[in-house]
Amino acid sequence: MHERLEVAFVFGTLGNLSGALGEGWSVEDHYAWAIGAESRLNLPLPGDATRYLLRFTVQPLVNAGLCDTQRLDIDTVSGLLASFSIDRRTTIELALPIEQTRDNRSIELILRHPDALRPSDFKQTDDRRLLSLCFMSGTLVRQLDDAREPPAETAPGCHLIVAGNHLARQMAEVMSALPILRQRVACHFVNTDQGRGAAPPPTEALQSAALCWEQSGGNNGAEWSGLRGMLPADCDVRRFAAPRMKALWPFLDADPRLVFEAGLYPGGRYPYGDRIGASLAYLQLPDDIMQLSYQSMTEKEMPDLDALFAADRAAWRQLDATHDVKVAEFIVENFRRYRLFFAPPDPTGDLLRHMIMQLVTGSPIEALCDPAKLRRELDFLLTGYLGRREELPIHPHVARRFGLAWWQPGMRYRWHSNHWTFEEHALRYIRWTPWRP
Amino acid sequence: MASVSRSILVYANCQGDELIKTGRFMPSLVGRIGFKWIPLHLVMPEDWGTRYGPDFMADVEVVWEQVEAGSPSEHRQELHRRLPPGCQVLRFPPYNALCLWPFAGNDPRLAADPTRYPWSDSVAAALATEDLSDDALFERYMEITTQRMPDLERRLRMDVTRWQAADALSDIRSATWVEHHFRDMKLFHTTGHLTAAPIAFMLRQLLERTAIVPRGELTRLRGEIDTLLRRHDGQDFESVPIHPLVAERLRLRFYDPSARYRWHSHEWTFREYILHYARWAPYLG
Repeated sequence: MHERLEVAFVFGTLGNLSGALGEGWSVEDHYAWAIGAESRLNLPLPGDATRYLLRFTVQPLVNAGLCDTQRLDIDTVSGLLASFSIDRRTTIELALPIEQTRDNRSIELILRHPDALRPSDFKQTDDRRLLSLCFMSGTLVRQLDDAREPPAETAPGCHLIVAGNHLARQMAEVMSALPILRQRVACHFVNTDQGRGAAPPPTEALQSAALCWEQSGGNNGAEWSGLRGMLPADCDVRRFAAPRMKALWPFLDADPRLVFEAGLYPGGRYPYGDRIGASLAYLQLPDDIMQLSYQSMTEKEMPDLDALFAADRAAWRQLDATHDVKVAEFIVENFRRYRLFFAPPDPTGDLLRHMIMQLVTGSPIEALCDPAKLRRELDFLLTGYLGRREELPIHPHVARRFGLAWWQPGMRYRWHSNHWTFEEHALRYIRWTPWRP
Repeated sequence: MASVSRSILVYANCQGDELIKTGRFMPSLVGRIGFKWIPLHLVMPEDWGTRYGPDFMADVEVVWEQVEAGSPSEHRQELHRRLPPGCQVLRFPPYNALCLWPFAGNDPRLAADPTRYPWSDSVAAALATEDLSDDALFERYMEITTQRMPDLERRLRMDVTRWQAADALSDIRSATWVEHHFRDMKLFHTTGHLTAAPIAFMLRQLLERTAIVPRGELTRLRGEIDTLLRRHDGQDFESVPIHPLVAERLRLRFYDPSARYRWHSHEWTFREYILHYARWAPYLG
């Protein structure tokens, strides 16, 4: 037997139960106090033949020494349903008798609470209401004993191993979050970066994995080869690589100032170097002159962007030739219309979705769920996806040259919790300004 | 980071974490003054014998103590018992705003899953089981919330009264500043989570009154706070969108109806947030 939420009840004038409250209530915006010795509740029901559980979240009025618990009996016209003794905020649960709920559109509940107190009796207040329990919210839960949905305790339909680095981790997070795959696919991430030492998946998951998505081109440590050897012979192994785009950031280069700063910037203060910015770093110039210098040097030294893009395209095609996930055509066709990269190695939700769908299509996952629903869930899950929250600003000249439809002048880029324009980022980078994550 | 021999201890809710996170990145203070935080909402009795023992307290020269309404809790009393002699104590108020989210009531789903969407919306909760399309669900939400929108001016007055009451207990005052600015700039991501502006305001006030900070450095410190926080979003990891009618009724001049609000690894519009919330949809962390 398992359960499904049928109705969510919210007490209070801003909730949805006001019409169901009979005598014995004092209703406030977000809750309702049961007052006096008895309160009546005409609870709406769906009117079918299912068994229902009723839950209420309640807060008792207690005062040490005066009243440590509030008793609550819940009756119907046919007699007592349940009794509780409540000493703190809690969620109480009772099964509604099927003979009183079957085909009925409501059930009359009588709540008896004999321990009500007046707040004015034990603290400085004018509140003389006789209060017992504060009802906050509740649920009506349908109890199902059929097999239309897999119960929570069952083993998953298959194990999916996703091995690689950041991109693989993102994919594993997405697959683990899709509701349609819950209880159907157990997704296990394996960090293959040397020395990262993440806990490996359980042996039985590896030995029975139906699928493995393996990222290439990383820093694959020896540990992964050992784990990979445990996969069953019939495991559907699909390979993907992390595509990079360099043409949008033509001045990328290493910066000698980039050192490990313990406790401050685990990934480096400015991990993406800029050769023009770095060359200006040692000049003592006021901000406006520095920005003009950077602008003029970048315009003067702007590389051949078509050539850079051609090199990117060639690299993507090379990846396509050796991997199951194809990206070249998708990126070339779409990168002007949609943002596909936050930074050279970091895909946006659109590119991530494209890659995941290729890995899913034709795999055993499609046999375990409705593929159309899976696609809808994937779209919903990736709405407004921020990736690693590291957006590398794009030079306005580059954006205009490529005709990026999603770009606009003065655009702000997220760097963790900061929002900088291209110009602000450039100046901060040149000065190696500290920033707050 | 270099070890330091004098520390400022912040006894506060998560707003204290923002103060110390900023302080730790201020170049003039790195290696000279350390920051420690005791989260008043999370501290457990056993912590005083372990993580907040004598070693923790030994180098504390200043306490920035966030005030609370009511009589002092056991933990606050314990803190005061343990402070080194001569320690400077500066009291400051918490910031919070209930009027911006008038439907922050109860959601029964929180009982079983308290962290997925911790900033409840009781109207969206009541729609959770309705079998509606996205458009119909959002339309219904807007219809109900428009009908039930409470008197927001009254709620604002209640907030202001609370701000003033907290000020009365504090060495540093913020009520006037919040009341003066909350329509012009976004100050709150949730009822108790802040954008960078109030964090910067409070940090400046605290540093100006902190005895171990040399007076001659205050201008530079103010500049460093500005550099760190000018384009920072503060405690934005869960930013609950503001209802357009709330913005209208409270005359929030900063309000942008198409604004996107961060929710962990996402940025959603108000509509997207309500749909995700009502459906209790999973998201990426």
